[in-house]
Amino acid sequence: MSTTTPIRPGLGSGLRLARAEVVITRRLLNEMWKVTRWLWPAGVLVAVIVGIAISSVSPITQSIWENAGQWPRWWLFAMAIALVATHLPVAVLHGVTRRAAIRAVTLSGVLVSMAWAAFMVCGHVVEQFIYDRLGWPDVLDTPHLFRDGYDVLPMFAEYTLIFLAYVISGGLIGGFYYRFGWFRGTLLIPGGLLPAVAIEGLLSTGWYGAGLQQGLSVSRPSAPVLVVASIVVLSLAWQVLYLVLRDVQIANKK
Amino acid sequence: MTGFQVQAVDLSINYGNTVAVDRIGFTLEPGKIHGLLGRNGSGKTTLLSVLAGLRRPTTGRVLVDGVDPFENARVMAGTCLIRESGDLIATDRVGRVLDFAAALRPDWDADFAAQLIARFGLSLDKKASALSRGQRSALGVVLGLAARSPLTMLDEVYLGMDAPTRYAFYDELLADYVEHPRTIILSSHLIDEIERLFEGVLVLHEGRVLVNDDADAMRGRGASVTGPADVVDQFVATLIVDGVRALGAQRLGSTKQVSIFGDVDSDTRLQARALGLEIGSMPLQDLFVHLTDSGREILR
Repeated sequence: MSTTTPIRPGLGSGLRLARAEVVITRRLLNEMWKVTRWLWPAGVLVAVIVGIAISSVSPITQSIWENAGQWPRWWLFAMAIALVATHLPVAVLHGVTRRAAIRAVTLSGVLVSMAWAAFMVCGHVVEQFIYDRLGWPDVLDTPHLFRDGYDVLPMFAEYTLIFLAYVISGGLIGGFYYRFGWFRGTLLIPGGLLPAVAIEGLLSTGWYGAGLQQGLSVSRPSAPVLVVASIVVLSLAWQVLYLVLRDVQIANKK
Repeated sequence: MTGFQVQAVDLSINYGNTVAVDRIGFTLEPGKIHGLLGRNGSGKTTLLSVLAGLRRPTTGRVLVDGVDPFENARVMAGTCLIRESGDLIATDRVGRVLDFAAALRPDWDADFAAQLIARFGLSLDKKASALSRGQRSALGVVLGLAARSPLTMLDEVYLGMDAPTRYAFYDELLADYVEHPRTIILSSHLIDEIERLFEGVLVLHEGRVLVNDDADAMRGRGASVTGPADVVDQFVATLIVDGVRALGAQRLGSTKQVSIFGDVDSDTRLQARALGLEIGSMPLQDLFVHLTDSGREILR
């Protein structure tokens, strides 16, 4: 047996994925898909029912799908919390380094966020089409990077950034609990929520994002500035997540 | 494949103010089955977790195949620790657990895994959360053996297994080890059942190394001296002068039996026989009990 392979600092190999990363990424995506394939039709069904219910008592004057963008945030957030505690120890016990596991989780988080963003974009496009055919005004309730339901690329960017922020927030809170235990983990929840709050504030999306920006009396920068700023914030948050998990002790389950 | 060598150098592991492992040093030769013995709380599981890269030592270091295993991709991929706690994802079915291991373990043997699954009577469709304690242990054994890792560590994996299943595990382990030699560390409290597998023995006591020796040599160092009490006492007193340690004594009427630990050569045995004393072998389990009973004194 040779004695080679010094420990690489940081993530080292960038996007070059080894076998372990591919295996874990596929597993995480598979795990997500098992639930998502039911959540997507359920989400559409609920939006349709809400639309029918509202239209039966008063005319529809604004986007229903816009509000449907709230629950995916929290679902992704909850999934990220759970995945840290359930999958990281199992991956390490199967001989995977934490670095490789974090790389796989990062890739999975980006891909899942993009998939959910695509789902949201499809919903907006379909909603805009229906509203146009019925002559309803498709008014958006809060500011966005996109102007209407057909403004696909900014919409995709906005939802991807928001969902990724919630994934990182969930990962941070899961990481805080796993690393520091329930008491200190609970105290650190506000810190874990920071990425999500920061991106909501930056993009001023959602009622609290819009409220935050109005409360601070900040004028909204241009879309490219917001996207770049969001990427910087998410990169910093990801660095914190990496620091929390890179040498975390894998405890023995009782 | 000959397996990974394992070394600890001045290794300490603390949990807060609690010292779990206290400045120990040892070397485990590659390609052997080592028994890791010790009472509850002696530091066995903590030591294994450091060897598997699950945590860093507090001070000192461990070397697996010559390097620090923590976050070393090559060594971690070649190390398999199966803990008594299982470490399965509760919603996974047994088949999915095996698929995941097969995808990640470089030396995984799917045919051997299937053979073990059949031998232990496990169903591939059963969810991990629905497995009994013994079935979870059996699945752990399948994961540990079929991985064929150069360093395989099984930490009290027999929990909940009935006797026939435990013996099936011992048989499978030995047969597979003969065909695919590697470094195996077995931590167990059922010493009398499993000692026949050991080629080396590492005994921990209160976080310190009590014994690290070849298993046969260790067995040879434990003996019982039986005979008339006064003759036994005189004989043992001469042995103690030569460095042999008396571990314990039992008395029945005028007959006394003293358990001793140390090198007893053939001359000494002849001398005992001439005095009308009987020198018997001591099972490893009895030796372990005596050693850990008087462990603090021995360490001192």
